[in-house]
Amino acid sequence: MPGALIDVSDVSKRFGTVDALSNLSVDLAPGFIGLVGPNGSGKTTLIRLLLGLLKPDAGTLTVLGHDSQRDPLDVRSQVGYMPEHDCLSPDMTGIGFVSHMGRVSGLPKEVAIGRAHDVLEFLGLAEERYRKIREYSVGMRQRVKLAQAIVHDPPLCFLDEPTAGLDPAGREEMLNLLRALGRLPNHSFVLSTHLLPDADGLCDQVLMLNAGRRIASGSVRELLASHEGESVIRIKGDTDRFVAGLTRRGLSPKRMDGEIRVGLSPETTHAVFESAMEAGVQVRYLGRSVATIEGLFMARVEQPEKGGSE
Amino acid sequence: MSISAPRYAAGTVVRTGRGSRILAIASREFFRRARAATLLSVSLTFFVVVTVIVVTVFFASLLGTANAGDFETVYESPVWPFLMLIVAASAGAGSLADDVGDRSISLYLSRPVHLVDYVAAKTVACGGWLLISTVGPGLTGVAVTAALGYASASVLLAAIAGFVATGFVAAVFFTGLALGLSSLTNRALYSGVAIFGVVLVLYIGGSIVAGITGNIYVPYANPIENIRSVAHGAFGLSGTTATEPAASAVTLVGAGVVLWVFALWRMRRVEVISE
Amino acid sequence: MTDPVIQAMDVTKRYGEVLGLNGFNATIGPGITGLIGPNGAGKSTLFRLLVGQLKVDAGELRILGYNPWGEGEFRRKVGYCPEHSTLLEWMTARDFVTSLLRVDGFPKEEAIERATRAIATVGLTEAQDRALATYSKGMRQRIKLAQSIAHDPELILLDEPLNGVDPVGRATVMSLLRKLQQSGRHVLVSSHVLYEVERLTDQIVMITNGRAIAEGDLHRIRDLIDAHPHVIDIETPDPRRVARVLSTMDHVVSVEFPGDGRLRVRSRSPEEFYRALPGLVVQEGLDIRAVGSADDNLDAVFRYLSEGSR
Repeated sequence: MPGALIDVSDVSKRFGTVDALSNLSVDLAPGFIGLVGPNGSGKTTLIRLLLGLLKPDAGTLTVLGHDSQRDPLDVRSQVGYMPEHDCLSPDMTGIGFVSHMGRVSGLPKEVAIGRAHDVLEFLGLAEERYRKIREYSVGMRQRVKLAQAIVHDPPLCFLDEPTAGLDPAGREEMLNLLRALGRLPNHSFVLSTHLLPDADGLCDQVLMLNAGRRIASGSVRELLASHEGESVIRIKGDTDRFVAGLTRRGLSPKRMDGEIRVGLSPETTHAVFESAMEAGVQVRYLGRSVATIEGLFMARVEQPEKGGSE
Repeated sequence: MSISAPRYAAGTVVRTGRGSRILAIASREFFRRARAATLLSVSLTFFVVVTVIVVTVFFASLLGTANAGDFETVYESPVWPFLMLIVAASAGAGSLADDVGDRSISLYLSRPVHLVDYVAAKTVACGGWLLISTVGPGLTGVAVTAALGYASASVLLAAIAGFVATGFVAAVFFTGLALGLSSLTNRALYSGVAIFGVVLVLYIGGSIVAGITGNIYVPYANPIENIRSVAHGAFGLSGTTATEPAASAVTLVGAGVVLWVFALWRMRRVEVISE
Repeated sequence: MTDPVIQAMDVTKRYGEVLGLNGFNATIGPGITGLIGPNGAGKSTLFRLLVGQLKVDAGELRILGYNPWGEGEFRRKVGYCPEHSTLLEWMTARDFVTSLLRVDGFPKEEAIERATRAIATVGLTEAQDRALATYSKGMRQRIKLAQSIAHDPELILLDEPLNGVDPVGRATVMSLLRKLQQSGRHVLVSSHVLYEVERLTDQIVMITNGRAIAEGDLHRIRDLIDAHPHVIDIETPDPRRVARVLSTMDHVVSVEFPGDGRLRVRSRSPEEFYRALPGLVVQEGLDIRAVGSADDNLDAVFRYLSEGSR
C-alpha cells in the first residue's frame, strides 16, 4: 500500500512449539503508533522482523517502502531504536556516545557531531553532555537513549518503554518531549508500552496484539468512537438520595466503583443539579465517560483476571 | 529546557557508505583500548625487543658479521609471547564482551551494519594494536641497528622480512584468540584471564605431553612453539625445531581464523532486541 | 482510634555522607497508602528500615507497634516485595515461594498449599512449575509479590511492584491490592506511576530529600496548597453567563475562557464552590454540561509540592 509506514502481510513466526505471530496483517500510516499487548503477545518478535533481524516463516514486511528481508540495512538506516534496557557505555561522554552512534547510522563525522549537539540540547542535556555517562542519573540516561535513537533523524523510531525507571517528574518530562517530537512532520514513532494511559496521550493509531494475533488496529479516534456514550458523575454526600432523585426524573443511573454512570442528553443534564440540590450533595465531577486505549484493551483481551498469557 | 525542534535540514543528508561506518566503530574501539595496560605493554615490548635486538646484533657484529638469525633471538624465550598476551588481553578481551556486557550491542546491530561489519571493525581495532606490537618493535630494532651500522643491508632486509612474516602470523593468531574468547563472555575480565589461561595451558601442557609421548603432532598444539618455529623459518635459521615452520604458520593462521569465525557465530546468537 | 500501622518519628538514616532519611516523620494508617517521591528521596531506605534490614541512626520507628530492629515477632505479620531482589533462577516458581515459606517456619504441606494459592492470586498458575530463569520481568515481579503475601501478612510493603508488568498483570495486581484492603489488610505501596496510585487510594505520603513533605488524604493536601487555587473546568454553551454568576462567589479568584463552550474557574475554596454550585445552577437556570477539577489529583499535588522543595 503506497504511503504506508509499515506494511505487514500475512506474517507468521514460530519458535519451537510457540506461535509468536500467526498470519498477522496490518497497515500502519505515518504518525504516532501505540504497540500494546501482554507479555508473549509477539510485540518483540514483530519489531525484530521489521528491522530485518529475524526471518519470518511466511509473509512479508515492508517498512518505509523497503522490504525488511531483502533490504534490512535500508530499513535500519531509516529507523531509530530506543531499548528499554540499559545500553549506554559508561566511559563515554554523552556527546561522544551520541555522535558515535550517529556515525554508525551513516552520518558523516561533522554532521554527526553537529546533530548530536542539537539533539542533546533539545532533550535538555546541554549542560551534562561533556560529562561521562557513568555520572548520569536515570532520567539523563533515558534521554541519552532517546538521543541516540533520533540523532540520525530517522523517519521512524521505535520506543520501548521510554518512561521506565523515571520518577513522576521524569515521566512527565519524557512524555512532553515525546509529544513535541510527535508533532514534527515526517517523523513517526512506534511506542511499545505497558502503561496504556501514556499511549492515550500520545498516539493517533494503535496496534494491539495478543497471543500472536492482531486484536485491534487503526486510528485511535475511530476505534474508540463507538465506546463513548455514558456520563460519569462523582458526588460528595448522600449518594442514595441523589440516585433516587435521578431515578424520579426518569433517568437510569448505575453505581460503579464510587461513581454513578447514567446516559444524559443536553436536555436532561439539569436533572443532575436538581437532584443534587434536593439531596444536599456536591457534584464534584460530571463528564462523558472517556473511552481509552486501556478500556479497549481490557475489553478485547480475554479473561483479564487471569493474568499473562505465558 | 526549551521545546523547539532541533535545527537541521531534515532528511537530506547523504548517508556514508559501509566503509565509513565500519571505520567509525573500528576507530572508536582502537582509541578506547589505548588505556594504561595497553600502552604500557606495547611500550615495554618496544623496549625489550629493541634492546635485545640491538645488544645481540652488536655483540654478533663484534665477533664477526651479524646475520638475520641474530635478530630472531627475541623469539627464543617465552617473554615475547607473554608480552603479546598482555597486549591481546588489554586490547582485545573487551572488544566484544564489553558491548555485550553493557548491552550497547543492541544499538550497534539495530543500525545499518551487518554483524560481519561489526566484528570486522572490532578485529581491525584489536588487530591494529597487535600488529603494532608484533611488527613494530622488530622494525624499530632493525632501524636502530641500521643507524648504528651493525649489520649489512642484505641482513637488514632479511630481518625486516622475518619480522613482518612472524609478526603478521602472530598477530592473526592473537587477534583471533582475543576475539574468540571475548565472544564467550560479557565481562572483559573473564576473557582476559582466559586468553592467558588458554595459551599457558597449551604451552605448559603441550611441552609436558610432547616430552612424554614424543608424538610429532603434539607440539603443534603449543602456540609458543609454533611461533618460535615460524620465526626460525622466517629468519632463515638452520637449527631444528619441534614443528615445521610452514606448517606452524598454517596452524597459527588457521587457528586465528577459526577462532574469528567462532566469534562471529557466537555473536549471531546475541539477541539484539530483547523482551 | 485505631493504632497507626506505621509510625515514624524523626527517623534519620545515613550511609556515611549519603543521606537516606533525614528527620522523617509520618503516621500511616489502615488500608492502602501510596508512597511517592523522586528517585533517591529515601523510599527504599524507609522500606529497608521497616523490615529490619537496617537500623535507624536516630528517631523512632514503629511497625504494627513493634520496633523493626531486633524484634523478630513482627516479621510473620509483614510481607515485603522489594524493587530488586535475586530470584533463584534454577528453581521453579512454586518451589521458590515454597522454600521461602519453609524458611519462615511453615511445615512442608502447608508451605506448598500456601505457595500454590499465592501464585494463583497473582495469576501465574499456568507457569508455576517453570524455572524462574524462563520468566519475563513482569512475571518475576508477580512472583515476588506472591512470596510477599503467601504467609498471609497483616501489612504488605511493596516497592515499585508493577515495574515491567504488562497491562493484564497490572489489572490483576491492582485488583489484588484492593481485595487485600477489603479483607482488612494494610498496604504501603511505592510507585512512580501516579495515576495508578490514585486508582488505589487517596492516602499518600510524599517524600523528598529524606523528609516527608506531605502526608494524609490527597484532597485535603490539595486544599492546603494555597499558592495554587483549585482549577475547575466547566463545559457550557453560555460561558459568559455562567462566569458572571460564579464570580459572585468571593472565593472565586479568576475566570478564564480557554475556548468555545468552556470555562475555567480558579477558586480558593473548592468545598464552598461545590456546595453552592447545584443551588446556583437550579436557581439561575444555568446550562452546565460538564464539571471537573483539572488539578485535584495526585499528579498536580506532586508537581506543586515538588516546586516548593526545589
